Amino acid sequence: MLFCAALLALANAIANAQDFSPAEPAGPALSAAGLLDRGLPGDGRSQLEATTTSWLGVPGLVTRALCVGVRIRTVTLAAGWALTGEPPAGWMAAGLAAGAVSEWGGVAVRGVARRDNDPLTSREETQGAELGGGAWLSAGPGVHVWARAPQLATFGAAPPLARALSVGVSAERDGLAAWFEREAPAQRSQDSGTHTAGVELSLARGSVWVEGRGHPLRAGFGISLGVIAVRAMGHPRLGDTVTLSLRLSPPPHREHG
Amino acid sequence: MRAMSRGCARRAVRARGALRALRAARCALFVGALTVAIAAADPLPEPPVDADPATDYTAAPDDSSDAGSVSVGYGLNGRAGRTPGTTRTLRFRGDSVEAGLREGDADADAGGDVSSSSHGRVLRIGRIAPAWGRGLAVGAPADPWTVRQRSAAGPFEPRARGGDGVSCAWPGLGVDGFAGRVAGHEAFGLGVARHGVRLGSVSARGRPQCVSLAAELGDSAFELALSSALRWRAEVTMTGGSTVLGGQLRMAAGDEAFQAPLAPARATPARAAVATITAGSRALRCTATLAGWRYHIDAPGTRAGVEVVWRDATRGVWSWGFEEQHGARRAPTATAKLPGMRQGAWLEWRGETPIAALTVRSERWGSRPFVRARVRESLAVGVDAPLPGGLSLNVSHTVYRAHSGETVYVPERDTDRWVLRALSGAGDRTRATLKLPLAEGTLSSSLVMTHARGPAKTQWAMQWSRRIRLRRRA
Repeated sequence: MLFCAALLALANAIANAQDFSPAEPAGPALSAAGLLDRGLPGDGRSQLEATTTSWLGVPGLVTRALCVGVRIRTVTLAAGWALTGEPPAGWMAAGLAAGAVSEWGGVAVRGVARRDNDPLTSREETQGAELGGGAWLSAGPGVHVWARAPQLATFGAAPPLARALSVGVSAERDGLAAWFEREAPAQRSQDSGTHTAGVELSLARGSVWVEGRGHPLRAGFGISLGVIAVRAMGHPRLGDTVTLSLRLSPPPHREHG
Repeated sequence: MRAMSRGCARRAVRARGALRALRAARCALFVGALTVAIAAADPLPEPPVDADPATDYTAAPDDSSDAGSVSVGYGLNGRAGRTPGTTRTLRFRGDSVEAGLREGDADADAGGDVSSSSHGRVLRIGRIAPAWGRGLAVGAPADPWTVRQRSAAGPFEPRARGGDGVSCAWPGLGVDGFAGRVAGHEAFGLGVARHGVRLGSVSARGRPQCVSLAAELGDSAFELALSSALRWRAEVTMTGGSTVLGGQLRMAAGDEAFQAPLAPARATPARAAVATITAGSRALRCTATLAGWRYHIDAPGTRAGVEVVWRDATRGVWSWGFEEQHGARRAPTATAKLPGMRQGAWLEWRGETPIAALTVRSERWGSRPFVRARVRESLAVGVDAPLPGGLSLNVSHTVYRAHSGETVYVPERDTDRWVLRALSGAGDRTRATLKLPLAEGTLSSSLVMTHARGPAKTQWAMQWSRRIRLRRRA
């Protein structure tokens, strides 16, 4: 029962992520999980990534995901598998994303298929999929504008979270970045959307950021240090949502010339 | 270092190639909906005052063609659970003869026309849409809050009532006339033009005869229309200033009971005054508009708006606008009450790169100052990406919310014409269009999904078209 209540709370309480929640700030994604979740390809390298997210501090409501990202010149691909909750509750998800990215911008499509773990429910009620994508462009030195719609089309069972069109802008200078994102109302019963804003400070070996969201008003922070990244977001009534990411990438290729 | 230089050079060559590909693709298709809005430097377009505000508005198809060419098109469209509809178009344009044929299921512009130019005479038979001067007597006047000249008319401007008939003009003599069935009535018109001044007379069965005196002197235009019932309407427009600071003015006055013979049901304000001031450079331009009009003493309306557009080669195009509206937009009816105050604000950005063009737009309208008490809102994005093999993909997505009695209009490029979709309630609309070369022509396929009340609605359309040049350029 607590699990179901938490799932219901997810719909209105959580940030704009679910199965492949990345531990990184808003905008073009550097991680494979970010590409699967947002459909915004960033300048990330090929990598293997494992993430775990504890939602709202609810015991048992944890998502574990394993993602792989491949970058071949301007083409970027990602695939992932995620498990949320423990059988017979919860669900499994598999995601695919493909995109192109360059210094001027990027565009990608992403899809996620899900299946509930409940064996007593019919297939139509337990299986579903969503298809969406995103694009970003450079709007000047250090300035990016993006738009993403992770659920342009849905099939079968409704996804656990309804996610609507989001548009955002970020600006970076001398290691200090700020971003703002606006998400349209995700459900027809909602009258207004959600706004997100944050500031990121790049360090020698990583970065740290703070962010805030509306509906309801809450704040969070994140740290990325080498292969490990952590993101935590509070909630005024429920517990914290914490994402831990472990990212392994091959060493960068050195060009001789 | 040399390797880095070679790498930079290769990237530059690829960038130029990609840019060319993008521009070529954009010739055929561009960002549909949102481009219209930014080109007009206005809030999202609305249907003209004589159109039903609650239904989709379909603009006239674009039948333009180059001399010495033949254009053919065949289209299919449908929606789930319905029999597909078909459209067929054929247009030929030679040196002295132009002919077109259009037919389709439920196509309001179906019909044919033939135009012949010879011996100083232009003869047109078939579908005709005569327009004189400022459109007071024959044609369509501009919406009461715009100064727009006819030459700058967009797809959603008021358009002249069309019909079947014959029109003939002798440009050298300055004489032209038409006869036919227009807007359900037999009509006849004859005009004479000399040195920019035009005098014409038009009559329609069952309607008072009307005389029109119009003049175009440089950037100014004037028309006076007088009916046999001694009802009159006059309008003058003036344009002045420089590229840095310019202005346009439009004023109209006349009898409230005046009716255009060819469009008696179209109600236009008896009094109107519109002023537009544009200041700035091409990079940063500010446009302010102030308009007031009155259908009758109990139905006035005003609008005041300002928009700032900033264009930068690397930062794209940013535009921000604000507008306040009062009173009647359309002629009031016995059942419709006058809307209250509306304030709207919009922000739009459009950028282009070699891999894609992106447009995002947010627009919000409220019934209280500072755009509070929202009555309608939309958030939209359009992506246009050239693909390998000459393909191009355009995806637009709009999320909207509109209270009861309010409508969000989304412009979309249909197979061969613009359509202004009227959306109400809460929902979202996605449109994907793929263009690909096929059989020496172009196949345009589009899929539209609308999520609103009830199950999602899906529509699809396919249009193959080809333009054949009959002779080489000189």
